[in-house]
Amino acid sequence: MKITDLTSPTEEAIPVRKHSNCDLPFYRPLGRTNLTVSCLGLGGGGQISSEDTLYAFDQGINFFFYSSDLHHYLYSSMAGALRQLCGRKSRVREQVVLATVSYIVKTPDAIFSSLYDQFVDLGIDYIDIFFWGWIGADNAGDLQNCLNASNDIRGPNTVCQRTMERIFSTSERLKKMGAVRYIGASFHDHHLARQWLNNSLLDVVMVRHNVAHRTAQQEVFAQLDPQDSQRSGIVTFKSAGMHNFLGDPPVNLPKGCWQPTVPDLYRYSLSQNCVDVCLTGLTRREEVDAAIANVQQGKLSTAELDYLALYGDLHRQRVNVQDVPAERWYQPLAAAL
Amino acid sequence: MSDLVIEQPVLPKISPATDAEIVTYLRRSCKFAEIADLTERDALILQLCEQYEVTVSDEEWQAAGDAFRTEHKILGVAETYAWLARQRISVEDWSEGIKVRLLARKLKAELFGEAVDSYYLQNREEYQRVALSQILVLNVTDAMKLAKALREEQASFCALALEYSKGKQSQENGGFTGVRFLNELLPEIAQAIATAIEGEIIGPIHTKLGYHILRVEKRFPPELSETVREQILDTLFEFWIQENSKAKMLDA
Repeated sequence: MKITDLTSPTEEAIPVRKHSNCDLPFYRPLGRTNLTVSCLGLGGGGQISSEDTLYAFDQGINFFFYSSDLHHYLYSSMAGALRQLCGRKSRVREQVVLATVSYIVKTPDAIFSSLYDQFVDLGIDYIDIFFWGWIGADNAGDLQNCLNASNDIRGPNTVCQRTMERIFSTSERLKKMGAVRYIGASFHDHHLARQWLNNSLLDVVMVRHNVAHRTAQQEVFAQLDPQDSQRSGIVTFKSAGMHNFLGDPPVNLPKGCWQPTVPDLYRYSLSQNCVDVCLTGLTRREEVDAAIANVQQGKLSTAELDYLALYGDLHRQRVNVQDVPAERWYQPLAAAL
Repeated sequence: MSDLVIEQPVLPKISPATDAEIVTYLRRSCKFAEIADLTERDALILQLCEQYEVTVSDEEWQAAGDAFRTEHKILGVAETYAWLARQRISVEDWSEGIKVRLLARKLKAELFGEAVDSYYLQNREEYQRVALSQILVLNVTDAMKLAKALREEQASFCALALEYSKGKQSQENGGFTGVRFLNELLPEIAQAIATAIEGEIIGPIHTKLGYHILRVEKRFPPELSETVREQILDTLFEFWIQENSKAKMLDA
């Protein structure tokens, strides 16, 4: 017997609904990933119901964020909708971007127990973005350790995919996508986030950002080139405040000044350089409608951005009303009139 | 000046070596045992394949042959025959070699394919790779001087390696020894660079070879690539063979 032939050896597009085309497109690529995301993301922190989660999807929101450990009690109210949208039998799975998080960041092996919980909880084939959560200076070393395993976790034909196949049996989608498609990290330390920007082991960077806490603007967003197709994807969270609810006017706000709505605060994040998604904690469908209508107005003007920074500083008592010229307080309102 | 005329020697004609002459050469050059071991390993693999009913289809065989020729850039029929002639082997010999390698790979996957992931997860850190530079010298005084020059005078690592290193590869390549798995390195070196940051000067580190001054140029996180998978299959197979040989000797 011998070898006989000695002659010369030799994505599916995701359909998305269109929204008005302006300087703040509703759908955009998420950094260097192959994902197309809505600029508004929906997390379960506001205990939105499954019914209204499905409504948000029908209105065009396709980025959903889910936690199966910390805050699981809050997030579980949206689990039914995510099972319907992302479960093994879903016919719309490819239209959804499912991001999940684990706050147990110690070793790469910890991912298996988180994935197990999430796969059982949501009945899914794969996760689009797995986030290592709550990263600060105290667990920076653990994050390094976990991100070193990114190439064994993300994509098809990896240890991670095979391990999940052994537990849950395989499926076409699991084979094609891998158990996890991309890796993200949610930072509470902006300096650390900056160090990891554009790193090949980390696809999506999530940072806290709002009108009162704007460090991310210099530390993170300004470091990115919007023309760079290989840059990190950027998601912001806590746009309406963390301990202080920024939708309430600060006590010293001069009378008659613009009082931004929560959707205005989302739009503040989305008006920053390279912010792809603003993660929201919307609680009901009316808020979904208001947020979508608001972002369709496009990016905030320079005067509006300046005013909202002032508004944020006032919230943190970093500015005296009298020290600021009156036009800075009233300019955005005057422009609107 | 008179021209010096050197008479050209007439080399005697030598016939191509026969198989028997090649065997004789192997014996007298002390390579016989090495080749005998490899021959016996092939025989063992073929018997194990029979035992475990591991076979190769014609399509797999052809694909493996194509992959071999692509890798060795032997793309056409004429080039293939020319290459075979240079190797002094027939198409049948070459094909059999391809088949045995393919069978060996399938046998290892059959026996240990399911164990690769868990072995890797338990020994993951060993599969970290580093791009490593070193200067190797034989006495500690020279080593201390070189380390001081690198740390305090920002001397060129490359220039010092070219001038002083006694390691063949590092001397020729300006210190660079290549991209290496941690588990390939001497244990003292692997330990010394375990937590080193990129660009840091480490050492001197004393080993049986001398005194090493080291620099990690870049770290590559572990990854279960196809190469690592093959390595793990080889490790598990060799371990299995050794354990079985020991058991056989005890039974005897």
